[in-house]
Amino acid sequence: MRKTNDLTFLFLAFLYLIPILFSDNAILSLSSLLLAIINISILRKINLKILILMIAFLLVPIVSVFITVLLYTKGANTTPVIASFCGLKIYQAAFDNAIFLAARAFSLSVVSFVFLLVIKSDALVFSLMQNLKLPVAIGYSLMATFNAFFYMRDEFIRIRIAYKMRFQKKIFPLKLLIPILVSASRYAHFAGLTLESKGLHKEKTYTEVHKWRYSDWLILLANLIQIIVLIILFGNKYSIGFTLG
Amino acid sequence: MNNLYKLKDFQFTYPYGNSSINWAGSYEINSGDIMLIGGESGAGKSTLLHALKGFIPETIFGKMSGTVLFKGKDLCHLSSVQRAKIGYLFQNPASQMIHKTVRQELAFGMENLNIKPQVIRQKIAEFSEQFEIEELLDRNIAELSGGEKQKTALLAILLMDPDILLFDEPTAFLDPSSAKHFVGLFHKIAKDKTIITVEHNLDYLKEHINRSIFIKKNGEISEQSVSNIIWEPSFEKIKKITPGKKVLEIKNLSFGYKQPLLKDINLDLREGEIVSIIGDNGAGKTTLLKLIGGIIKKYSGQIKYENNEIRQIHYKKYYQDLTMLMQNPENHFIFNEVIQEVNHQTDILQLINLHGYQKRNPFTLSEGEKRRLSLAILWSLERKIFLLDEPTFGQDAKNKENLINLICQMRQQGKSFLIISHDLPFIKAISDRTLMLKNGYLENVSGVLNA
Repeated sequence: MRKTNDLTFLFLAFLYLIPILFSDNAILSLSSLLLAIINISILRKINLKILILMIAFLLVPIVSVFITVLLYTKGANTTPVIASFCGLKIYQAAFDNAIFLAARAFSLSVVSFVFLLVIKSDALVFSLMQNLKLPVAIGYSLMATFNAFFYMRDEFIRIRIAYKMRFQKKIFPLKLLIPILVSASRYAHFAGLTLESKGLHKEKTYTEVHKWRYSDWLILLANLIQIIVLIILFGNKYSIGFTLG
Repeated sequence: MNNLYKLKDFQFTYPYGNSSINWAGSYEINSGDIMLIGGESGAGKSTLLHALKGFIPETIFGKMSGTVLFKGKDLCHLSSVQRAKIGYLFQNPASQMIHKTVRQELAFGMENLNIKPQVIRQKIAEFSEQFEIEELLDRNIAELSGGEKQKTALLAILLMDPDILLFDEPTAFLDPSSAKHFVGLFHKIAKDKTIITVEHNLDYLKEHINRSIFIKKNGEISEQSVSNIIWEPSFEKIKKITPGKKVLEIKNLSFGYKQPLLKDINLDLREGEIVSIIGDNGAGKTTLLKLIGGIIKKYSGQIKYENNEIRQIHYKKYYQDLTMLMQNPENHFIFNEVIQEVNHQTDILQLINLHGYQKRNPFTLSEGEKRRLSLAILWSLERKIFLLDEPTFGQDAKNKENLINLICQMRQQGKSFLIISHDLPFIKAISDRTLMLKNGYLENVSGVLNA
């Protein structure tokens, strides 16, 4: 099976965000999310463990969005009451809006996260440099920045341990930012020196070739068609959505 | 012999520190020279390498006068590809990694030289086999040990087939057998190259060096006869003492990340005892220190401090008695002045050869000075147990000797040390017991080492 270009996943991410961003009902948002997950999992393996963990973390803010909209939708009291608890009335419009906004927030977050999970940062940068002529200085700096996250994470852990051992405190002062900042700037400095030292220039060759192929066009096209079908099927058809201006 | 470098009245001073380099007169470095740059820690050895690479004054700012000519030209006028033919190994291998995997990192330099991908792949396969790092090729660089990163950085430079190799402590993170193997292969492959190296572990280089210069603390540089170099410093073995009660006890300790790394480790440390652990790069030495230091908590077996399992001891109590030296000395710094870091104990700075540095910002010290300051910070804490990870990194023989004497004095006060180091002369001199970590198991090698 041919390897799908990581740039394709970047374009797909934008493609799937469109129906969710402009949807007017929860069904369209959630079905776009489902379609995205199905299509991505056909192309690349998704780490389900991390995805489930992320969804679990998401539940709290999503439920908060749902409750907030349910309680504070303006003008909802002109629509029928669908339930009431302890004197609190739930109106049809408030419920519709709460479902819609919670579904939209959930779909946006999960779609973005799923793409983050499957896109390989280094492959994406290589692809951008090779296919979209991203300047090599920016491309390799980006790559160094991605690596810097891991480097800085490890540095921070070590600095924190050294501090904890020295002062026997778990609460870390702002002062601890100094070594972290120094470490970050030193990393940036050496990354720059390394790029210069190894003679980085735009006419270089690439051992890892990330070609944009016809299959990538086909994948984009197939997904676009599916999204259009989805919009035709579910767009503006169901009452779960913005019913109030 | 062709004249490669010509330095004339070269002077350089950093804007933020007091350190400077001062080379009066004219000096030439010829092609084929294999030169050692010696000198005290903080004298400016790395600065000189920066100048020879052409980083000064364009990329590393400071006050520069005089000239550094490369093949009769100013280094600033060379193209990026021409400059790439001067290979440079930085002191800290972790900071020169741009890519995610070892394979990508090895390919990068050759790609910049416009070498065809298939040739690059072939060269990587060939060299990685010779240097025995095939199993590292597809590993994530972030997961490598310090020594493995050092090997990757060294090989990445060699693969570029540079005309000149500038090395800043190339064997600092390598275990002795890897260091010997790497240096030997390097000189075989790069036999016609010019190599200029800053190194404290001179033992590996004695067969290869044909020129040497020495930089004094005041920045003055002079030629030194190779015959006068002390290649393998020997330190006087410290006097044995009768160790006190058992303070640390490790029983059947096993641990692994994705695969088992430490298996059935048994070790104890007594009051006033100095135990050293040696082993190959990636053997799990630092991980073992992290486990003992209570940093990694998930393990099987027991680690007991004064008969209590360390997971049951509150960290405040444990860290009142134990501390650990990190591999990167900067991890210990949080103040703006050296004197603040050691809690205003000037005598400690005197002991560790950092007197006169009280008002300096710790981050502006040389690597060797930073290492000594991080040790001084630990000394100032007055703990009972010290876990030291590569304490001699960047230290010359004089400072190593000083460190041995200091540790010796501290053990007389009942303090115990667990030391990880690749520095065999230092280990031989200081250790009551030396243990080797191999294939996950710990074995006593004191007898073999002292034989």
